[in-house]
Amino acid sequence: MGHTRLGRIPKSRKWKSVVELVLESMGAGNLASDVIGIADQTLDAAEGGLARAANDAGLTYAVFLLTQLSLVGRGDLSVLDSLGFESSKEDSVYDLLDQIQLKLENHVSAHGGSTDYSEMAQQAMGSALLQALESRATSLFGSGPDELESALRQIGTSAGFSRLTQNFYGDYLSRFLNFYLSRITAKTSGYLDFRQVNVFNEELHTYSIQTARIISDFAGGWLSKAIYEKSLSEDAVRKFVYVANKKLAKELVTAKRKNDGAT
Amino acid sequence: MARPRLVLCNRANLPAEHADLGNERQELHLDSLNNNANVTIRLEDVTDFFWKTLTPRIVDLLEIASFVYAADSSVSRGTGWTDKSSTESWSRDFVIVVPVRDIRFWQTPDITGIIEDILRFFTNDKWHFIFTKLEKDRAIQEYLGLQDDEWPFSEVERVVLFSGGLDSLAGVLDCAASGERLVLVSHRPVSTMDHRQRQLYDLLQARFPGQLLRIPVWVNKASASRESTQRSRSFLFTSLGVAVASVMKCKGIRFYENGVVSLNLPVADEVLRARASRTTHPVALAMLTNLASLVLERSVEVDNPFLFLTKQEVVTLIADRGAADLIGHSCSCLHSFFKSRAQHHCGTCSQCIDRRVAVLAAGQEEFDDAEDYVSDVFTGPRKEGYERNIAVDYARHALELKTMTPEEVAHQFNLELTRAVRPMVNKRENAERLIALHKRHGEAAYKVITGELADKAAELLEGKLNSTSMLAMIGNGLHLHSSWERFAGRIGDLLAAALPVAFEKEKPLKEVALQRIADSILIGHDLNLVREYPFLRWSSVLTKPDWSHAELDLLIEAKLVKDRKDLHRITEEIAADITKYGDSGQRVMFVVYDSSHCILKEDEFAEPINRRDSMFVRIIR
Repeated sequence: MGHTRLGRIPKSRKWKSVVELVLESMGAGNLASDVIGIADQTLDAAEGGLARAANDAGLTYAVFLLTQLSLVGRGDLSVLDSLGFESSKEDSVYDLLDQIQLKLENHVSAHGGSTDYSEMAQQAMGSALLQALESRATSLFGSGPDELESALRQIGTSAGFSRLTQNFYGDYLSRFLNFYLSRITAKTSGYLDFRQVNVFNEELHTYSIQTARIISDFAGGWLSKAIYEKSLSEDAVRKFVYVANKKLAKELVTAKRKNDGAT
Repeated sequence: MARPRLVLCNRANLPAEHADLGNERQELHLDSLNNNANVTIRLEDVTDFFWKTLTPRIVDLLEIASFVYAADSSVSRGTGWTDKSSTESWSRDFVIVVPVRDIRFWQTPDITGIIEDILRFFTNDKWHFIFTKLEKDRAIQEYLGLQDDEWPFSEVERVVLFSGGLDSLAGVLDCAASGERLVLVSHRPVSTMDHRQRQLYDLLQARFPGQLLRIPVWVNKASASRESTQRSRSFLFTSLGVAVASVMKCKGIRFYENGVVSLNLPVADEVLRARASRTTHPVALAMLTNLASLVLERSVEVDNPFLFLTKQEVVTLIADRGAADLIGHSCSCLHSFFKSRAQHHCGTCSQCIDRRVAVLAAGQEEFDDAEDYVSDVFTGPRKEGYERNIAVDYARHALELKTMTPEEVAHQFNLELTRAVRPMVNKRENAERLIALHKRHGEAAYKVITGELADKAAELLEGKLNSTSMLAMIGNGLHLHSSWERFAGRIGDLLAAALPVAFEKEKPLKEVALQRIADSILIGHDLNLVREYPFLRWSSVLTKPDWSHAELDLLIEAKLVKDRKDLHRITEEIAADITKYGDSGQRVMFVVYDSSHCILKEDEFAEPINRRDSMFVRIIR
């Protein structure tokens, strides 16, 4: 029977197969060389993008804010004051989401304005946070401060932060790859079939969440160590993001080698 | 990436102290004052009184907005890539030098910052303003087409920005019906659009004599536009509104745009930032309110009363006001250059789709002549690229909105929703209202599209519809729906043939053993099934089926019956699965392996499952 809990992540197709799905659906040619060419071009662009995004103020601050919420989950409520978050008896998951999005938006504004990278990071941050909190809180709008506090507690553990980071980077990578893939396939003829879009999105998301596992493997330990050593800062997060993006880019290079081996 | 531009207006020079800003920039010269001017700003049908009251600061604002609009239209956004093919060159970079009359005001850092922020939000471009003192002005009359009549309008409540589309038509009707006097400001880049707006205005004036005044404004750049996105047009439009509001002492400036278009949620993940236009986005209107109030030195609100209405509801409002006959005189099309004056809608752009869907959803199709569309929205051929993509994206987005729960909408569009309600009080409630609005839009569009599909089912099946039409492109996926039962039957046959052989010597003791063997059988037949996927939310838990087939929306659950006491548990599990998966709109096939023949009455067991259109059970022994 099906499981009614979040279990292991299901096996998905390889990156080449995700691209194949798009091309087949578009009727835009599905020769092995077409597929591999487009898959490789996308990975090349995404690899370059990840290197640039490592220095993006929006991405770095999004991860910093996630670490701060993890601290709140560990019981350090003073973090909310230092972030300038207002709290009330009415607080819900939505109110927290609103405040954290505003905080990130203001930070981005003060650091040169939004970029495609910062926008994707902002979307991924909201998405990962909701995924983590909604599974505990009764609902996005209806939950109260008690449910919110209880939901935050689960991202206050090392394992909880690992999951949060994996979901964040998985969502981020999914948007990243979709962004590049859509630009590259736009040069080919055809359009993505009506129903295939959802199939493709699900496949892409699964692929990205799997790839982001590499981040989750070290994120929890990194945060615990930084808290223990009292070295958690925006600068420390910047270094973490640099390493994380490098690891993701390395995964993409590996995927590309597998593609090339398939020719 | 488009080369950074240095925009020099009215023969201005880059001041020496900013010389470094001019490095490696291509110069763009815009001129509205001198001989050979290439930017035209002209307000028509206004009186002597109007121009005398126009302050130098307001004239500055009109010129700034016109130069921005001209620069925005003149420089193409890049389509290539930079930074080792990792950055799309969508954004542009402008340094713009504008000579102004009220130099002290415009050089205030706050004012410059607000204008730059507004333009960054609308266009995603970098704008850096340098204001210099205007040395030689021209006669102000050149801005105006004067008329001698006594002007009866002053202290009007609102300036309405009147595009001549359905939304602004509904807005005018709504206000005028309550006795309000209105000044309608129209920007008319081409004469065909002006002709249509004038016709509609004449009809409105006949209904509300003495209540309306229209001020058409021409803002043009001499050479043809290179960039069609023109994201700065709202800034221009609002500036025109501010000019009129200043003269007539209006309390506010009003856009009328339905909430779905106003928020313009991205139809796909890759539509980032201002790639989805933000013409009347609540954040933009809040910023424009701030600027207008500072310019006029009094409180002036720039708002949009239709934020919580769908387009269908806007059309219904027009009909409720007894003005359905005016629908056919409005124009919603993005394209303004038509060869013929007989037709005003291309039928292929997003606005035409949205208009036609809204009119049909509101049951007002008799007032929206199909002949007014160059190409039928649903059955007309569509060109490769934008025309086909927008049709598929529109339908998919509507279906997505209809099928998603409110929580899923909030999850998917979390950033856009929190951003939209940021300027409002009661953010949470308004976020919920915006979600409900989008759900209503999804329902309405879905109903219209499925209705059109049903109407054209015969042509679709017989292959008579143009294969590039919206219905054919959407309908192509629909034949898959009817084949799911055939596919499920094939899986049942395969398992019925293979499972008894696999378990001939040793019966499975646990369900997981049954699933493992079944999985190996199914993998061998390349059926495109995915194991334990996808996760589906029901209430506060996530669940996943044993297998799924994405294209067919089919989930498969395997159940093992070892002895009679398993029957009660299994029927309860199936009942729970029917609820969980059925609520997600999924099709489900149950494979029940009953090697010990515990199910005595097969029909009785299967009937409550098979009577559902999307459920199917196969008992294997």
